[in-house]
Amino acid sequence: MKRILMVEDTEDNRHIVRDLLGASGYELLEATDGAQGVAMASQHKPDLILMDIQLPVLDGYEATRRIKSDPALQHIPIIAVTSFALSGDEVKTREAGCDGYVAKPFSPRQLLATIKEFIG
Amino acid sequence: MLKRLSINVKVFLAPAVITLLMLAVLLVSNLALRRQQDAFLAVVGGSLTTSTATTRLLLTVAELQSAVLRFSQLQQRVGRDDPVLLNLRRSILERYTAAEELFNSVKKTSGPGEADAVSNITDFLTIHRAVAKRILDSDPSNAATVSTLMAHYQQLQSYIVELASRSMESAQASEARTRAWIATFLRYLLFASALAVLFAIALTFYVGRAISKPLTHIVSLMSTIASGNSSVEVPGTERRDEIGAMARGVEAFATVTKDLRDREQSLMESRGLAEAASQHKSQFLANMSHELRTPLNSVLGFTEMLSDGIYGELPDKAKLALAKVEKNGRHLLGLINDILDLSKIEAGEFTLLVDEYSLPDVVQNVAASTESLARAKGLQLSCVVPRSMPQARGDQRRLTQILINLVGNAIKFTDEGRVEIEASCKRSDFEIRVRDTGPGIAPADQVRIFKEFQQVDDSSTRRKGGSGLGLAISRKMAEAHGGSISVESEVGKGSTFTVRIPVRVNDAVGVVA
Repeated sequence: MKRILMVEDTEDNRHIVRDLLGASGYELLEATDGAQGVAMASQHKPDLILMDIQLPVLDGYEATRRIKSDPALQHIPIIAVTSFALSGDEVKTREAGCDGYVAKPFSPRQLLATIKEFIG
Repeated sequence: MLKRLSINVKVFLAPAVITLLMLAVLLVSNLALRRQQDAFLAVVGGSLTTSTATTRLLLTVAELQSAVLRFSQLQQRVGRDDPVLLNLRRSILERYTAAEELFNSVKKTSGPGEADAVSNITDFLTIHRAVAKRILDSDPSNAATVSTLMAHYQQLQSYIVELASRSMESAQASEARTRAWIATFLRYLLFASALAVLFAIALTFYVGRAISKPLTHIVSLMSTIASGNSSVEVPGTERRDEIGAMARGVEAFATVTKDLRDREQSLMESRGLAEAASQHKSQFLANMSHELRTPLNSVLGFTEMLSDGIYGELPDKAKLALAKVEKNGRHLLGLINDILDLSKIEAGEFTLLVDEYSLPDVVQNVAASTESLARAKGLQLSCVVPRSMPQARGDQRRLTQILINLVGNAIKFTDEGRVEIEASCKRSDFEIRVRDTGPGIAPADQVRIFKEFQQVDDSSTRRKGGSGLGLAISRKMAEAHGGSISVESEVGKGSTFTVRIPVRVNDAVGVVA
């Protein structure tokens, strides 16, 4: 079973993804801040990471950068989940190393489709 | 008093005075020259003439003497009435007259130094003539008279010679006096010229300084003012001449400069405040964006999952109700997006994400997204895109947004018939027309609809839904691409909205104020 790490500080969002992925046959790991996200990625080496951008402690960009600079974790696809508040967010996402993005508010159907694209 | 004269007058006076000085010197020199000329003429006219005349007188007297002697000898040999004798007598008398005339002219031109000699000659000439007369009239004369005549003659001769030499002396003295006078005069002239030159230099200096000193001072003041120090005292503003006028001008300049600097200062402060406010607004926008979207995310997310049966199959009635929840949620999301987009545009935060894209793909996407909406209303949605379209460059997402807005509007406002999307390429622009068979838009409204919060009919807003922001944003976004949106419509004949955007957009066009 494929494992997905979700780094998201809002409980409601985690709830949605939990229910969604659970019903679709993925195992879900959860981290509530950027630092925890990096730690858990390194510990569990998931098949895909869903990274929220507005995170406490360490923001999504920095967490992504750290994971991507770790040779053991480089290969893991990271999908950014962001509300694109400021101009230049798309560019920043790419520059930080994200492999894809989903805009908030996201449609669970689309999220599922995107995940399937990356890891089947 | 000198200070009160204007610069104009001073500058004129100085050379005027110097010129007058020069004229004075010239005049005096002229007088001296004339005097020299007069002295010379006096010498020539006077002494020289006297000298010449005196010499002639000497000769004439000598001739007279020898004539009288010849007469006396002849008298002894011939008779009284001898014609030769009578001739001689007459000629002697004529000669005396001539001698007297000559002497008169000598007397006229002789000077006071020769007065003695002149009176002596006068006396002896008279005596000589008297004695000669006796000889002429007597029958023959005796030897005593002749020797008396001889003595008188010698005396006369010596006085004439004396006169001649006195004249010569007189001439020489006159020459010496003139020389001395001229020498003294030249000395004085030199001295006076030197004084005049010094005075001229001093005057020039004075006038020059009178102008340059306040000028230099004012110039240095002006550079002080120009370099930032506006609170300087400008001297000389009370003067009534040109320097005073300039000083007052500089004072005005200082005031204006100070005002400008103050204004610049306050402008920079305002700008600082404005920039801070703008920053604040950007931050606010970012926060609001996140804050508003987060709860909506939950609403739409759970609603969707409920609909998809993740929590189990729902009864039809529940599905219907859920569909309404979802619809309203999406509507709310649309409103939030519109408001945030508009705020971004106004805050200058709106930039394009320029990248390569394919127009046919975009149009297909839009058609696919809006198909279900059209079908729900029983409208026909068609799409005409030529197969060969040039590679496009621009913000695909925004273009999609614009087209979805236009097509969505077309579907929303048309109750029966069809909606057509037609794309074409005209020179360096894409032209995408969205045609509908709706009620059409009156010319008066065609301008209004592009304004924010306006729909054709305000009452229809509640029926048709929508915030009325769509067209305003769409137009701004099209313009950000360097393009435009226009409408052609007639009431009762449907509407055609045309989006024109360049095929290839530079990043530079991006930001819309």
